[in-house]
Amino acid sequence: MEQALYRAAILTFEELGFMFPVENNDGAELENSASVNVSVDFDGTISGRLVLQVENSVLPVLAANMLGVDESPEEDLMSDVLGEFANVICGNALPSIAGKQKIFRLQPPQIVVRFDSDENPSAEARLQLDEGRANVRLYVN
Amino acid sequence: MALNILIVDDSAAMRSIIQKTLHISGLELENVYQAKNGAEALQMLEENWVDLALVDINMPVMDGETLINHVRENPDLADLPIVVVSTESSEARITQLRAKDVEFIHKPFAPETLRETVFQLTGVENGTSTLSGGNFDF
Repeated sequence: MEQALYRAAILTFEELGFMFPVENNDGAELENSASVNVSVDFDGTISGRLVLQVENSVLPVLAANMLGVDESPEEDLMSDVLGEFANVICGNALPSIAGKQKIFRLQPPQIVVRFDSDENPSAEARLQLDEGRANVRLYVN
Repeated sequence: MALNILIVDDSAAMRSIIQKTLHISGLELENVYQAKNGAEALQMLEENWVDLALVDINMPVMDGETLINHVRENPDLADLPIVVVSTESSEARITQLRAKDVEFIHKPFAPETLRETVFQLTGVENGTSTLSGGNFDF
């Protein structure tokens, strides 16, 4: 499950964001005050939630790369970019985890101001980029 | 022949990316319309001539599959070439969608993939209609 999540996250950063992350195994959590979270709920063969958390330093570069612009986009558009990123990661990861014949329904992405969970994720992908760090957590019900 | 293309996606960022890809693809474009859900798209299709629609599936208000069903049931729109551009990776789901006579592009996509699919469905390649046998320059 974790490898599927890493593959989906790295593919999405590379092909949609033109950024090239590597696995980050330093174990440190990202600070909520210095990062942005977006979540995508899903149901189907398995149900749950995917949460993408990126450091504030990553988001403007990610958004500008994805949109093909030189300057940082407006905040609304950056949130939209992050939501689309989470959506694509989730859509790519789930069939790899549950099987390519399984059908899932993804809910619209939601920006989460502060994400706290006592629950351990079912899988986690921690990524290091030139501009900062990103974490992807998958919670399966 | 300049093309009129409709992009249907609830993500403004994705609509922007697709529009930019179309503009750099070498296609001659007359209008690129944008709709953020299936309901908006249906209204645009009733009011404007569209040569091809690029449609996301997961959208609020009216999803892409419902939009495709409406289009295929409408005699005035039934032949509209449609490309589904979606994160959908389930093979069963993709098979279901292809049965509605649509092409499928998976997100994330390479710009070349979008360009080639549009060329294929519109019969236009580098400004020349492939369906016309190459006798006409547009």
